[in-house]
Amino acid sequence: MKILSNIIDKQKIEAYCNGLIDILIVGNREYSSRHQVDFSFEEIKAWKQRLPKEKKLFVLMNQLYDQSKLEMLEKTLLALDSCRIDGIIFQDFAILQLIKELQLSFRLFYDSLTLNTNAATLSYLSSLGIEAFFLSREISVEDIEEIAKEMSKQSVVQIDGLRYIAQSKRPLLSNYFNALEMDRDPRTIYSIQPANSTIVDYIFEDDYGCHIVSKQRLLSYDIFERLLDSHIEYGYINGLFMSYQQQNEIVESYQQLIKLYLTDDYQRYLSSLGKQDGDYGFYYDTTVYKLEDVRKRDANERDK
Amino acid sequence: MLMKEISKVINGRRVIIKKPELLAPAGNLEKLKTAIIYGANAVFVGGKEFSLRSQASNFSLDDIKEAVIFAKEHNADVHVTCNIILHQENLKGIEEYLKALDKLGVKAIIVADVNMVRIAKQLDLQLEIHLSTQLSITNSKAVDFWSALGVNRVVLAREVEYSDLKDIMNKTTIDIEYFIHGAMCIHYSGRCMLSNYYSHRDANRGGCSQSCRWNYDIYENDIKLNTSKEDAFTMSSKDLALVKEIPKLIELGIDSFKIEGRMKSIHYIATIVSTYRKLIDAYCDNPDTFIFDEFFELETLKAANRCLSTGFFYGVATQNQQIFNLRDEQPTQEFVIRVVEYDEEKRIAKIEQRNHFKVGELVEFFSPKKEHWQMTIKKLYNIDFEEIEIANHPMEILFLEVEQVVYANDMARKVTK
Repeated sequence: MKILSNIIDKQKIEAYCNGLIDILIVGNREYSSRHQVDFSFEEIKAWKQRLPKEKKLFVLMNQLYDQSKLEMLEKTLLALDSCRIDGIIFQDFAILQLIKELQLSFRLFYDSLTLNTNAATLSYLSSLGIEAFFLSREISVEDIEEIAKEMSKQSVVQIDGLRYIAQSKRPLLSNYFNALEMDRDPRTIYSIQPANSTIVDYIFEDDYGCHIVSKQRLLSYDIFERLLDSHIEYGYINGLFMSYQQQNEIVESYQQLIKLYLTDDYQRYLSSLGKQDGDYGFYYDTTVYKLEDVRKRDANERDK
Repeated sequence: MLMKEISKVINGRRVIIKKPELLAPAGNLEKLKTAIIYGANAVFVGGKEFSLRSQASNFSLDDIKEAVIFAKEHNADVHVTCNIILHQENLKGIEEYLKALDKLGVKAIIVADVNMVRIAKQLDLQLEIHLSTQLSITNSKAVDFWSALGVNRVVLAREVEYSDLKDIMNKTTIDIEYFIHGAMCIHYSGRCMLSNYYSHRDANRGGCSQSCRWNYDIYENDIKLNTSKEDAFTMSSKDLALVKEIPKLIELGIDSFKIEGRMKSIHYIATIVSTYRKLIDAYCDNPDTFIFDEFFELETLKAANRCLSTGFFYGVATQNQQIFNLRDEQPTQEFVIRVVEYDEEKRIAKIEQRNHFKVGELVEFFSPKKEHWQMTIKKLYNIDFEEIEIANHPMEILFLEVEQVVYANDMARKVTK
């Protein structure tokens, strides 16, 4: 498994060059969201030149783009081509279309955030030129294993870090503060908690709208061996809101597990990591959607 | 630039030659028939399989068969939503289901998963493939991408504003469907997992718990900013109503105007469909002398249970397009009567009671065939033709003396002062 993660500290170029992340991800607020630091084209070019050959540099173009952004997208793709980056992580099929029309060549990883949930769909999309797919964070480990039977070499599983939950084009914080005449900075990171719930998540705004991400870190240590057994090709560690030191420790832990896979030391190392602060998301969990299942589950909850 | 011909001068008068399809929702057969009778050109329904809105009473294949027959008799089409995002467990039975829909004469399937597109194309079916708004398509390049895969129509994201829409219409060749009325998702459709995280109900497979409409406490550095329920953080959108914007949209050559709301009542469907039908027809008949009548806007308010807004039409939606602390909720006018048949000689209507009403109350009748009119309930009879004062049993068949001609499926609502 190769590890992907975001560059979250521009001062640490040497550390990233010599570090354990296999695919480094950079972004810019003009075309990316939910990323920590902005890289200009010049910086991207410079970083690419400094990176050792075995490390790859991907650019995050993870938005749904309005019609008025298409000109910017075209210019960005041409500029990235001249930066000789390795690949793009995208969400909007406009990117795929533009790359085709401009006859550019990038490795393309599709992060639809929520839509990559079955092997048949991904297999078809792969025939259209997409190399790899971020699997939805809301599927179970059994579903991941099922998908991997056909698509292991093309699957990216987020293994750690905060999880995307929702994005609105509306500036929901600004709107709320304006409506309630509260004098607050909408560009600060806030937390929200649904009434009668213990769950707390982050909410913040940028030029693309308002984003909700989990406050709890996703963990994959307990199921990591199963991911390795399934030959998942890529593991993604979301660096959002991490410190460089925290990111480094997390990357190191998973790289160590990869190294120790199929050895006697694997379990010993896993135990040495101790209890981490975070949760296992939907790996062991199921969502329901059919009316009868919703009713059944609600009845069970009431009976508890 | 690809200009579509929208209007033409005939006998010295400009007329709209590209009239948009009016596409209405239907949660069951009664709603479907109501929508078509009140003027919808097409109706979208959910099947028992592969459809979002798991709580709408979705259509069996037999229901769809009846729906298609009824629609064809009235020169209308049926679209079937197959718009869940497929998981591993949902992969079986797609081919058989799509073949069955095709055989029944369904005009189009509305899909959100590319695998559905692939299968439908491989099967070489007659039905059209429409791309659901669940995919949040916001630009012409994404439309081109799907067009190349064989999609016949794209339902644009509700986030697409007018200036962008204009450009998209100029740059695309396939059909474009645009939301004109109904509830709005506050987040990008298909990309919202609030329900999954907060209720463990899968939003992309029809289980959405509408967590966006809940109240939230909001914190900055662990300090709670709201003090009560009244100032809690909310993410609830006002409903969309583009009544005044219809002329602009017709002039753009939008192929289909979509009304949202498979869960809504027949009163809602009749009122909203009828309003837009009349508005579209009035504008298309004589666009250059058309003057917007406030009647259209007032009509939509009669069926609204949330405040209405123009959503993203004029740009990014501000606080004025959101609901804060339910103070912008409003009660719907009460729907009380559906006409079953009319005896012209006796001027008596056989009616179905839909909500409590009584003698002495003022009601407004509305119809796809005539102007609205009002009367005070004077003579009301039960099924045995005994005079009664109050209609208080849901769906009870009664008889009512009426002052004007009424038709089957006309409706009446209480007039609130």
